Amino acid sequence: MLIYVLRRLIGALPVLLVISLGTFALMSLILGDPVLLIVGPDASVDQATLERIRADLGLNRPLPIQYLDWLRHVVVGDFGRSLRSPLPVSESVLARLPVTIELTSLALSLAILTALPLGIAAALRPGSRFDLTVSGLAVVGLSIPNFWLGIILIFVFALKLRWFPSAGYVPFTEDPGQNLKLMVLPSLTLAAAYVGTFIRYTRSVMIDVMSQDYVQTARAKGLARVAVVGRHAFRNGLIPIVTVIGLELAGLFGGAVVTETIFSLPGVGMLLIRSILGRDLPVVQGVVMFVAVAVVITNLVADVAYAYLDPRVRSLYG
Amino acid sequence: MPRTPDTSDLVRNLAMRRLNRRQVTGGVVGSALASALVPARGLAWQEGTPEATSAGEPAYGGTLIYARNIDAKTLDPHFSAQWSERFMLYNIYNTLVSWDTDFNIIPELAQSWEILEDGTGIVFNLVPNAVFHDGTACDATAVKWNLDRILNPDNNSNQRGQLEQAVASVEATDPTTLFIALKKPWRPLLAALGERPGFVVSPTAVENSGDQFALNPVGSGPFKFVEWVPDSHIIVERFDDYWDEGKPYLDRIEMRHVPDTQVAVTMVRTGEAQLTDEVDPPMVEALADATDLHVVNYESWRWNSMQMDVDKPPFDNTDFRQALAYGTDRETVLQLVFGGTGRVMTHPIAGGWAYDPQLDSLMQYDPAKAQELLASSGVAGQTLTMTTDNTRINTDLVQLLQAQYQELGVNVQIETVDSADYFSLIKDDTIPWGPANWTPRADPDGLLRILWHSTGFQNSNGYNNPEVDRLLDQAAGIYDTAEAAELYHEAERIIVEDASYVFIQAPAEFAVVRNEVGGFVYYPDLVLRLRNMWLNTPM
Repeated sequence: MLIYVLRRLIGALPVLLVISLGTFALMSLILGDPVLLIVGPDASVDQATLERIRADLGLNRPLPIQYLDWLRHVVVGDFGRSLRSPLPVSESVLARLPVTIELTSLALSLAILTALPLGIAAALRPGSRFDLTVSGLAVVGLSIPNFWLGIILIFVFALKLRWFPSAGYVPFTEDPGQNLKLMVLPSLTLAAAYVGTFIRYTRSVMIDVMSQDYVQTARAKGLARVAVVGRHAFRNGLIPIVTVIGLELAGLFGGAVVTETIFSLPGVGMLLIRSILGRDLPVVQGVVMFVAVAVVITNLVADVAYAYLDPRVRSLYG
Repeated sequence: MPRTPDTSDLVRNLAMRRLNRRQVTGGVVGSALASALVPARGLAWQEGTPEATSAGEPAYGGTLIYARNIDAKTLDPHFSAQWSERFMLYNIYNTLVSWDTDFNIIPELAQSWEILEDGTGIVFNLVPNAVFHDGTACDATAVKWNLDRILNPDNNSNQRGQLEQAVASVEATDPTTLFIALKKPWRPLLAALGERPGFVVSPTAVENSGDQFALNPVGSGPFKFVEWVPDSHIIVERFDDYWDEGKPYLDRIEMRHVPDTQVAVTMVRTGEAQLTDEVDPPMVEALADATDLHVVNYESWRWNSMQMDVDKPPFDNTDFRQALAYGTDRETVLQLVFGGTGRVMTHPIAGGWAYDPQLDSLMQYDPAKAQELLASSGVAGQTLTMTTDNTRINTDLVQLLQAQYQELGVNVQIETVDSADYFSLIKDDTIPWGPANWTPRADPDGLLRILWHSTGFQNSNGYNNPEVDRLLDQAAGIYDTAEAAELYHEAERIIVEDASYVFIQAPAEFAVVRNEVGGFVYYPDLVLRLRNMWLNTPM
């Protein structure tokens, strides 16, 4: 098992390399000049100053050299410095990590905890009124864009009902109560689409599993309904569901970018948007690498989870 | 300066852009476009004269929370480039001199000043009791250190040009007397010293913290820095040893980063924040029923325009440029793009002591004259490209102009680039024709010089008129504003007639302010002086 994990991690290295090269190339292709953004549109500086700033930032070197230099530092854990702030990139990303981790894990737990029971319940009585309602809600959740949903939630729950604050962030360590209150609406916003996806998937998987021979057998031998669904059907249905959750994790970050912007959460997504708009290449590179590593790891976790769920897979790994 | 678009623009545009592109390629013009851009209905806002909104005696105490999009990168004024940084700089620092709401120069750290008779030097008398938040004295030596810091080329300050063109040397004669020797008489220097080149930072703090000073600012202003969590908030609190007795009123100011204007307005409605600004007119409409807040409306001196590269055909043809200027139906633009808010504006100085109301009648919409000029220009049969950034105002603007110019007989296609790139593409001279909006400087020389002087930093469209250069240089050497104004009127008339820019509209600005906020005043530079405000029912 350990060897398998190691092999997967080593296999991810070329992927990360390609991603970093791609990000670098794309950001270099973008038309804007970061130096002009640094001095601002109403600056009164001469060409010599612009060139000096460019040289100080190392932006006057050929692109391949810039990339190799970046790579050389990353290998020893130095992600460089932001072009527009005196903070090192790693520090900026790490400072924002708790916000994004809290948001995405709350949203994911919320999505799993609501979607799985609802999906299973709907699958047990396919075609019933309950099933139709749940399936209908799932489609609604899936199709609402989250930037719109966020604004609507703020309108209803912050402005009209005044149950929750509209936007902002307080660290959990500073004021846990306020932190959770502030996280409710963003988590709901981010979770909505995943609730929809997970319900639909759970439902169809479970309907499929419930019609399998071994489930019929379990029923025939007089097992309680709870045992049939819980121990026999659901355990087998869980494997494809875990796959889908693992795949959706990567998309979760994309949703976090939008959600963080609406709810003013100073997370990694906000940092990414800001850095792209400011053409802050080192920070964009840093965030993209971070996200890529996170996706590689979560996919790995999902794969390892199969091994625990499915003895056949476990034996494959040896 | 052009505003950086807020992130909510970006997010909304993800949804909008698809629609826009279809409209553009499908060639939806004229009435179809007009119906797509429904003008805002009668807006409901309280008329916002400064007097009306700052009623009541100043009260002490309380925390003012100001919600806005913060794109701050540094709080070191000598390297500041971002719009939102300035809202905080005025709390933490003092400037050498200051401005009132008509851009007249008034005392700040300098309680008075005298200009040498031949105009080549200024003596400043500083307040005797100013101290920095770190306890060191804010005296003439410190001010000299600041000006030298900007002037030193090794420091790469983006404000060096503003000082360098005029300042020969700076001397601290005694602790309260500062002498600036000039290379030539130069009136605009005074106004510059009320802005970023005039901000005074603590030399001790800079020497101790090096480049980390940007994140740990120390000034002599009414508020001292407490905390800055990037993309979340900036907090300052009352400086008890502030030299200007009795000020400030507030205990604390929190500037909260809220990228989405809609959310910022909601926070003011719920009381989570006390004020926000740069609110879109349609959002103001929804506030008609709110009783615990009001909307302040200010006719700004900022202007929207279309700029052309006068060194590239067909824009090198003056008749053609004038045809576009006469063929622009500004009133319709005002109604459709800006919901009827703001003023039609046909020239670049839209307010202040150099404003010339006579120029308001120049280049009015005149389709017949436009046709005539177009015919005499000989420009025909080409399809020209307008390039715009992806902000809502500018994309709407170019689509409407496309329809108007099409009617004139000029075929226009539209290209859209990302807002972050737009400015550098203009500067690189790769965009021949596109929207440009600018906010006035405290001295008319500021904007006119960078845009229309042949050596101007933002003169990327190749405009070069020796007569304008001469008038601007001459006017800058005159300290008497009435006398200088005459020259600016003359220069402005030439600039408008040369039509390198087609001036369109001066927008109205909207701020949403809770009723307990006192001392809210709009300045023509649109930077709110939070330091002067107070709360009538401190929370």
